[in-house]
Amino acid sequence: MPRDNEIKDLFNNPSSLDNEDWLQPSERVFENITEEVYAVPNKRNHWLIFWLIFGIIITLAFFLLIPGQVLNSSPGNSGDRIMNEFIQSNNLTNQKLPETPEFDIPRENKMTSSEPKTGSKVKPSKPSIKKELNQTSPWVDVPQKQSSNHLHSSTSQIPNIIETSNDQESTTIDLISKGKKSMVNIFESSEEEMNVSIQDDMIEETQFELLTQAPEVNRLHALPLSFDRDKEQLDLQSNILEENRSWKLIAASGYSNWKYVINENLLSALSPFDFTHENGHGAYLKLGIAKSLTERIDLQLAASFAQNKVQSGHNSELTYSLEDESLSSTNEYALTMASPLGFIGSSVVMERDGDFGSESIDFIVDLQNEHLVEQTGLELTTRLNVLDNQRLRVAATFGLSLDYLRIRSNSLRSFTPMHQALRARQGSITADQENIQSFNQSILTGIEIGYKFNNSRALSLEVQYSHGLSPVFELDDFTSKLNRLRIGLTGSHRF
Amino acid sequence: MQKHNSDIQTIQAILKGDKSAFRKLYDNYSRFYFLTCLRYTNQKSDAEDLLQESFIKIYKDLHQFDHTRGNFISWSKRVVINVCLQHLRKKNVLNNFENIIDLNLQLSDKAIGLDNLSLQELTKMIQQLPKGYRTVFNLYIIDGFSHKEISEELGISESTSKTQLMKAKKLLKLKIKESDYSLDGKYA
Repeated sequence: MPRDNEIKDLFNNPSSLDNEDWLQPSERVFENITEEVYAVPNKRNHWLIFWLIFGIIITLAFFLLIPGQVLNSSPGNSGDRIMNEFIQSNNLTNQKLPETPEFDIPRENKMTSSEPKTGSKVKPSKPSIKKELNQTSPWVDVPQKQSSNHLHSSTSQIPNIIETSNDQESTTIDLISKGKKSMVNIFESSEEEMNVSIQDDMIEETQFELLTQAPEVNRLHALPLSFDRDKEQLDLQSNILEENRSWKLIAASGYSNWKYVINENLLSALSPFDFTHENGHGAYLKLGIAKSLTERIDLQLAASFAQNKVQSGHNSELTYSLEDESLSSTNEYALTMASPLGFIGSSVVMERDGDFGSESIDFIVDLQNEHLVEQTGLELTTRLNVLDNQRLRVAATFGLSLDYLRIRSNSLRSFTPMHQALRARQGSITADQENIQSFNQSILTGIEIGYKFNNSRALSLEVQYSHGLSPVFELDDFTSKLNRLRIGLTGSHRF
Repeated sequence: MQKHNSDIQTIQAILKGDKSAFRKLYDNYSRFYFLTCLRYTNQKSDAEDLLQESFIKIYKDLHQFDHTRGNFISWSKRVVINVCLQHLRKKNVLNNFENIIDLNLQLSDKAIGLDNLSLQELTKMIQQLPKGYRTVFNLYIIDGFSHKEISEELGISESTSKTQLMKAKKLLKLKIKESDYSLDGKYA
């Protein structure tokens, strides 16, 4: 246009507009602006709170899970050593035991089974114990006492000694290095009650902290003491050890169904174009680790990966113009297409296959798209065992998930012109969705029905629903959220 | 230059929390921005909403304005145009730029006189252009975008932008010509 510059100047001179009263916006505009820009920020930042809570939970999980394992696996951990000694003791009990007890128990210290099982007669004094513990590491070699009231293993060189004493006597038990063998001998002895009482006293009266980490010791006290119960005892020990393996490796996989929840604003904008979309279908894989906090509650931290495919489609109204036609009788269109995750750029070519009888025609094109979406997540869940018997376990799960979503690919499945004289020739995606909210959060809830093959392995059917807390797509007042349903199998291995 | 320095002082005052300085900035530029918004949308109420949104964005991004890299009016006008384009994308997300009536205009290229036209009348004529024509016309003729920039902003090809511009000019010429006749009383 010859007067392009004249028009440009006319519209680009602010000072010339002073007399243009028709350009005066209503005062409401400025009031709204000042309300917005000078308003005291009173909107609560929900996401900040969410992250704060999530961070606290992660931190708590770290303290609950990790240090426990570190402690348990620490080489200096006496509880662990004692547990190992117990395991060794199982082997010892299977060996042929000597005819006579290896303990050389002085006559004056022996208690007959007819005597009350109190252990008070050999009750050591606490101050003496504490003093001994404070002064001497239980793992340090201490010279044997050569007292007349000496209780010791006849074969040992006793590198590790816990020494107790009372007012009248001193009792030394080789509990650690030979202790397991000694304990077995104690059970074999006809005077086992006395000996167990001594042991009982040692644990309970001295409140020996290191032993508290070997719960099987206390459990054993509950056993009726009898020579015939050895097998039962060993079985129980075995079960206890299995149960005390509180860590589990978790692996899960299955089908995932994603439902995109599009808000009303976006639906309204898309409705004239007959926008439709289906739920996404795909698969997921989850690997994690769980720790039993109590008999009924597990805490699980898992990484998940899911891939899902969703299809969407809509119509668009186009005009085929002979004026814009290429030599190959085509028109090329740059289209913006809708998807549950935002808008996609595309290029489609329509070929004319006949005469219109006019310079141009309007026509409708039916567009069908497919979107491949991936989601990687970090899930923290609590599993509450509702039912837990010998073989069957039913658990409810609750948790939070932090997810990272990305569009793997978009594809134009079909574009069909609704006109006899036109046909689709070529189409491609030129731009993926731009307003994906990659990081989002979900709350999880679900149920697991599991079958226990043995004490360490189980297989469960998992049904889990996750509700998206934040949108996966957001552009102004257009949003889309994602809710997921998972159905899969979960295998767990206790270690 | 005087205007530029005055703007800088006003912006510095706003950044220090001076509300009256913000009012001054609004009074200085609200008509200009309102005109810009009116060019991109044909509804006054929409234009007021866009003006409001533009000023809020200008205020929030004011700390990003670097007066050594250009004057305030260029920077802020770009903000307003972006707000208008975003609005158009939202309202016409699926409305492609081919999807408008085709015109078979047979007009000569002779210059059409603007002398008899007021700014208001010309603005109304631009507003009456179909959305695709109007947007490309505004961006290219008035706001100085190149076809390449327009293609990037609107997600269309450069050739589409050129085609739209050509059609917009033709249609606008027709409207101005009709207006000339009207003004002359021939078809009034």
